[in-house]
Amino acid sequence: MNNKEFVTEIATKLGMSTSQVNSLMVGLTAEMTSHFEEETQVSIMNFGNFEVKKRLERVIINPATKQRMLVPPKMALSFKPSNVLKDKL
Amino acid sequence: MENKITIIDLAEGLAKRKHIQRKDAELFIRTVFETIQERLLEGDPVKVKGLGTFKLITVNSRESVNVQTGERIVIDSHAKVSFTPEKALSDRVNRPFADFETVALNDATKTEDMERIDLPEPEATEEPTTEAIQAPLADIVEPAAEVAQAEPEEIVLPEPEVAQAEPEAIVEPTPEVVDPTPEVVEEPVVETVVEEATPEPIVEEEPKEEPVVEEEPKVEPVAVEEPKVEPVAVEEPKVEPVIEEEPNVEPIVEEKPKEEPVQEVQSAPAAFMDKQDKEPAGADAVEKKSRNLTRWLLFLMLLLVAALILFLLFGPKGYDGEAVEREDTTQVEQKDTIEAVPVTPAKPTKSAEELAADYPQIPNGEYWIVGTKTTHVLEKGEDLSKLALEHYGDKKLINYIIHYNGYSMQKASNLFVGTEVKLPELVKKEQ
Repeated sequence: MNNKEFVTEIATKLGMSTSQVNSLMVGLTAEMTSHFEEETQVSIMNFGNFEVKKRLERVIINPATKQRMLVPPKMALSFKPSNVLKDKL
Repeated sequence: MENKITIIDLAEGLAKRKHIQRKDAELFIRTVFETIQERLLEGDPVKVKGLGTFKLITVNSRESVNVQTGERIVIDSHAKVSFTPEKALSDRVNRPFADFETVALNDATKTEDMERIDLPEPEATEEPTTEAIQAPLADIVEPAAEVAQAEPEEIVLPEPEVAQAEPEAIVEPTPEVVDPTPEVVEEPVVETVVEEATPEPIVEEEPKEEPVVEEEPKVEPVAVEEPKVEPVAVEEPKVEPVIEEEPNVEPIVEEKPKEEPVQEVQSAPAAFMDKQDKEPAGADAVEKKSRNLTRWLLFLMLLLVAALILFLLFGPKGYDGEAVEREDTTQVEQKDTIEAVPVTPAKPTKSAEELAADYPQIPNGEYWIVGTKTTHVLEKGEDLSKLALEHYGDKKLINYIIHYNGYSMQKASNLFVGTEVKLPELVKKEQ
């Protein structure tokens, strides 16, 4: 399901126009992103947690060339589904 | 993480942004995630713009062990939600680390080695010296005391004896442990000591007889105990030769502070033993001396062992992984640039670019391929990166070999022994 279908479905559920929903979605993602940038954990009840985690640097080896590479540390957004969601699956 | 926000906080933020009721915003957010959930449960992947993709993936059943009971259990196949953030989102999240890039490491750089080389040397020079100075002093007190007890009549004499013995005792251990410091430092010490003990026979190698003769005048005025005193005096010349021998050993061993002390200790006792055997002096005196000597040696050995233990304990510590690896990368970068430079000089007749027109080039590469340098038949244990390192001094140039031979990445990593590989002639592109 792509974004368009997703927006349409929400629009029908809430009785709004797709453009309204689109604008709200942009607002929502902007809001969430701003929290992620502050490394705040965002938890959605009955759905799961979004959390920014630090991945440590590490050395990898390219199997084709045997070249050793040092991968720098980075921040990654991770999602952990809540138990409620897990049970439903 | 200490700060955690929920739907309610999100809704507040959204309401402010879009100037809507907080209640509406909350309802909207709930609907969004409900919808995602419903769709997921249907087995559909859900793509949300600005956030990422939620997907259901199935995990195969596998065997595991119950940690508490040790029983083998089977974890059933189940579905799992996977979330892949959008590129834009993950980039924004990663902004603090965005400047870092993946760096290729040279074979030569080993993090373990760096740790080892960095630490031990400074410590090796510092620790033992301090100890060596402290401990021998303690050392010396005892033999002196012994002498005093064993020969109570010599009340007047023991003092000069001890005084003479002390400086020498100090001289000996220090050169052993401090060897890294140049000999110049040691020699003056030795000389002064020798002057105190016996004025004339400083460097002479057969000091046995002379010192005895010279010391007698000192002893005579004091008492009748000449025979006892003489052997003690003889003890000093014995020590001297040992000191003289050491300089020979030092230059060889200077760089390995760990091992030499042991060697020297071994040579030193040997020297002592020889001279003792030859000695004509009275039996009790010899016994006393040997006792003193063995004490000394024991102390020296203990010292060395202690130094070694300290060395081992404190040697490898002190660097945390990150710092070391940072150093690594900087080193790598330096090496890369250095190695990459001396590849091949440009040919004067035709410009490299013209020559290069006849050969397949790597777009945006640093070098032109201007011909075949040599061909190489692969042997066991060789691979292309090794060839690149051998012929161009840089493993990164493996790309040129692969490209020039028209290999795919997969083929390049699965070449057979005996394959003939063409090595391109490379010319650095001018800016």
